[in-house]
Amino acid sequence: MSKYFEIRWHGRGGQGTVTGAKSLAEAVQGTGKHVSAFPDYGPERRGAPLRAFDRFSDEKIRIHTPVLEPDVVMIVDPTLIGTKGLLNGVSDKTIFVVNTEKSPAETRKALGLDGQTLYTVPANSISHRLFKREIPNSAMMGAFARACPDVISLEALLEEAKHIFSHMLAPHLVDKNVEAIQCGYDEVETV
Amino acid sequence: MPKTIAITGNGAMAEAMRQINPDVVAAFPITPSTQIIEDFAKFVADGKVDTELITVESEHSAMSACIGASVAGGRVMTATSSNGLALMWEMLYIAASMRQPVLMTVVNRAISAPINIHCDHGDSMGARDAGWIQFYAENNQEAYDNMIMAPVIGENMEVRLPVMVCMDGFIISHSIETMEIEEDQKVRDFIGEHTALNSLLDTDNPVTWGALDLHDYYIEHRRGQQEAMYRAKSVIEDVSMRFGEEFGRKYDLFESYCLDDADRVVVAINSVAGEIKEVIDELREQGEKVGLLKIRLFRPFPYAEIAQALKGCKIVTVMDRSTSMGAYGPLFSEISNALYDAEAKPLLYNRTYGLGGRVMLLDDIKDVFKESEEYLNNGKVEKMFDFLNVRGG
Repeated sequence: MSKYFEIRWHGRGGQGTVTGAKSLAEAVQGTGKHVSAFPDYGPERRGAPLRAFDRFSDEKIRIHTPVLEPDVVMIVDPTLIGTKGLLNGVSDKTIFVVNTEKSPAETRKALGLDGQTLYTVPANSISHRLFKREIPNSAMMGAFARACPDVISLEALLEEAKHIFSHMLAPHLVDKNVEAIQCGYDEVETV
Repeated sequence: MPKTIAITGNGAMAEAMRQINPDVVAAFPITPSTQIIEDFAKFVADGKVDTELITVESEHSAMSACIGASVAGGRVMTATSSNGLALMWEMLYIAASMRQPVLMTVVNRAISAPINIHCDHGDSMGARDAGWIQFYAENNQEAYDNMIMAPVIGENMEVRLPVMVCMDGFIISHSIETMEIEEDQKVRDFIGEHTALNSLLDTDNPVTWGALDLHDYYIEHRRGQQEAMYRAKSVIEDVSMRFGEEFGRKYDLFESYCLDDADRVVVAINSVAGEIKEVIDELREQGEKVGLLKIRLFRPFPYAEIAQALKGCKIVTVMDRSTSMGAYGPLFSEISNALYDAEAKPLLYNRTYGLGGRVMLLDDIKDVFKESEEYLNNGKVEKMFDFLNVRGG
């Protein structure tokens, strides 16, 4: 097993995917690990597909290359399902966390997965409910904690997130985003 | 206690600027360095620094304002990238020749045309003869550390030169990495108070700056600058040692990684060194004697020390992330110069990579070492100069 735990996020510009990847890294950093997080920069356009990456390790992280063989694939936008590249470099052990209103069985089929572990979360619904708009990233972070509790527990994530969000958001939005993490965690489905 | 945080390279440089708390910052935004000044402007607005922030209309004006504020007696900083640095061109030389210790972060980005926002070193390498001390950094920690050392070095009376701290655009500037930010007070104690020298505002002791200087003195002043550059090397060694004692991170003029017994060495600058180290660890496990010499200080260039460090190796691949059209890469030329007097000269060749942000994967680095193995086995270099990872290559 690689000494790095690697995540690849697939989203669209404007959904907070890069912020999600960076916030998750900051949260994991708070648990004492070394982290790095970075997007795959292209022209930055609202709605255009984009990727972001996380790397976590007990050791200093020296490499800056895009994640080629992800341990986890986070699909932040359901309309990306069926597009190219989502399955690049994945193995049997790769975990998928997908923002979708559809059932895990349907999603598994739509993605063309074999035996990989799949978690679905209706992050758009959660976001609409809490923010009246579509910013699914916090709910996705919660779903990640459900999928990978060994990397970060829900308790640690909530605690770190309060701290991280307080640097970038107004107090009422900090609370809402923390709630979104909790909802994301609670509303995960798997098969 | 230092704070261990996850922060972008740009964020780290803004933190360094906040801790240095310069008298004046004059800047014009350009990708990918923009966030440094955005963050710093927030520090100014929040009253966390005492700095006068001048938002100018171009980079030429930014450097002009920096020079003006510096001759007025202030500690002065700015940041830029790519064409922004190119637009400063005229004023870069003037800052250096007027011996003003202006401090600048250069977030390395390819120069137009075609327009490209991604990393290569064409911008700062183009400014290598401007008279600035040039530091390069593999990651955000090194960039931050170099910047903390920069005022101590530049303002030293043996030196009095501007200092440029370079780091890779996007790869470092926009990536979050775990690093340590030192305590404000410890940093300020390390840097010390700024003292104005021959200030333009000291009306009791009037001085002229930027005077006419023809064939009677110009060459002496240029020689003086060159001598200051030579002296800078030992000042940098001293300051780096003191930094190591104070903060625990040790820096030499360059970094030697697995170099002592290496047969095959790669010489490289900035973030790619991380990938190279990773590959070296893997190849070392397979018994391959490979190593890295990573440049930290490009100006003044530590010729003798590098020649000494490369002594005993059999083949050297110099990786340039910029081009000098019609010539070998800037780093190759210096390494070649450094090795001219070496008793047993290694095989030596030049590879250009990563222009405009072309990614080098770990497998690409492995290919670099594979090629050097072939060359070494054949006892000769097939291609002196080539591009890596290009179409039609």
